[in-house]
Amino acid sequence: MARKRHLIVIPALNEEKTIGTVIRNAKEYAPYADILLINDGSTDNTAAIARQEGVRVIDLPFNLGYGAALQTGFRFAERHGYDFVITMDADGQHVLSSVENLLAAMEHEAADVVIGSRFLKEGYRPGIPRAIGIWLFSKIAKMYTGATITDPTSGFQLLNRKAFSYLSQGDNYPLDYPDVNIIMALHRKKFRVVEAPVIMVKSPDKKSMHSGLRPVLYVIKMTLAVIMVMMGRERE
Amino acid sequence: MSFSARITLFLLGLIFFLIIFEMVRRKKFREELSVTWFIVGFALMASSVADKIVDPIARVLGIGYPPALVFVWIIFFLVLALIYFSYVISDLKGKVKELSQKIALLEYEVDKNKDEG
Repeated sequence: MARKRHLIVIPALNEEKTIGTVIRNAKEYAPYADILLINDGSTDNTAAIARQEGVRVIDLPFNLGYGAALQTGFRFAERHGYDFVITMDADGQHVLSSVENLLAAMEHEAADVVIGSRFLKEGYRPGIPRAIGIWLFSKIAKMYTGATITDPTSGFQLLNRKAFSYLSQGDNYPLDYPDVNIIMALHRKKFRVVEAPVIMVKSPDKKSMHSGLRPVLYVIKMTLAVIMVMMGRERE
Repeated sequence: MSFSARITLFLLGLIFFLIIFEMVRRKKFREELSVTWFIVGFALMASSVADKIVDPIARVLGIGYPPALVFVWIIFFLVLALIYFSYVISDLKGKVKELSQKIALLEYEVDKNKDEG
C-alpha cells in the first residue's frame, strides 16, 4: 500500500511573531507531512516568513474568517489527494509533539475526526467565561452524540479524507469558528468523532476571543447553532 | 387632510418613484431589489388619500388613533425589507467565500506552474 499522505493546515492571520517557530516545530515533529499555510488576509509578514520556511502558502484575497480559511485547506487536501489533514493554530499554542496521540486515537478507535483536547491532560487553564461555555456545550454534545468532547473549540484536529471532503463542501463549514455544532453535524452524518489528549500552552501575548461581551454573544449564537443542528435542517 | 397636504404627499411619492425608476433604468441597481422601493413609492403616493382608506379600517379594528395603523404598516414593511436584505447579504457572503477560496486555490496552482515551467 502506498504511504499515506498527511497535510498540516495552518490558518494564520497576522502571526509573524510565532509562525516561524510553529512551522519549524511542525517540520520537526511531523517530517512525513506536507505543510500548508492559509494566509487569511494578513497585513504583516506571515506569508513571507512561511515562504522562507519553504512551506506551501495559499493567500486568501482578504480576511474570510477562521472557518473559511480552514475550509480552504480542506479543499486543497481534497484536490491534491491527501489522506489526512491535521489542523493547528498559528499562534503557537499547539505543540505538535502531541500529534502522535491524534494519529493513534484515529487508528485505535476507527475515528474519522480526532479532536485534540487540552483538558484530558493537565497544564492548561482557560478563563472563567470560556470555561463555562466549553463546559455547557460539551454537555450538550455528550447528550446528543454520546461522545465525551471536553474541548469542542480546539483547533488542533486530525481528519480523514472522508471527513474533510465532506466539510470542504459549500456550507458544511462555518465562516467563523467551528464549534460543537460541527461536531454534532458530523455525528449526524455518521462520522465518528473522538478526542485525544494534547499539550497546549496559553498564547502569551494574545487577547482571548472570549472576552468582554463576547462570551454572552457566543453562548447565544452557539445555542442557536446547536438548536439548528438538532432540528435537522439539512441543505442537500 | 387639507388639499395642499394631499398634493405635497402625492408629489413626494411621485419624485421618489421617479428616482427609483431612473436608477433601475440606468442599471444602478437590480430590478428584483427595486420592487420593494417601487412599492414604497406607490405607498407614498397613495398616502395622499390614506385617511380615506385608513380611517374606516382603523375603525373596524377598533384603533382609536388611525395614524397608529399607518405606522404599524410602515414598520412591518420596513422590517420585511430588512429581512430580505439580510437574506441577500448572507447569500452574497457565501458566494464571496466560495469565490475567494477558488481564486486562492487557483492562484496557488498558477504560481506553481509558473515556477515549474
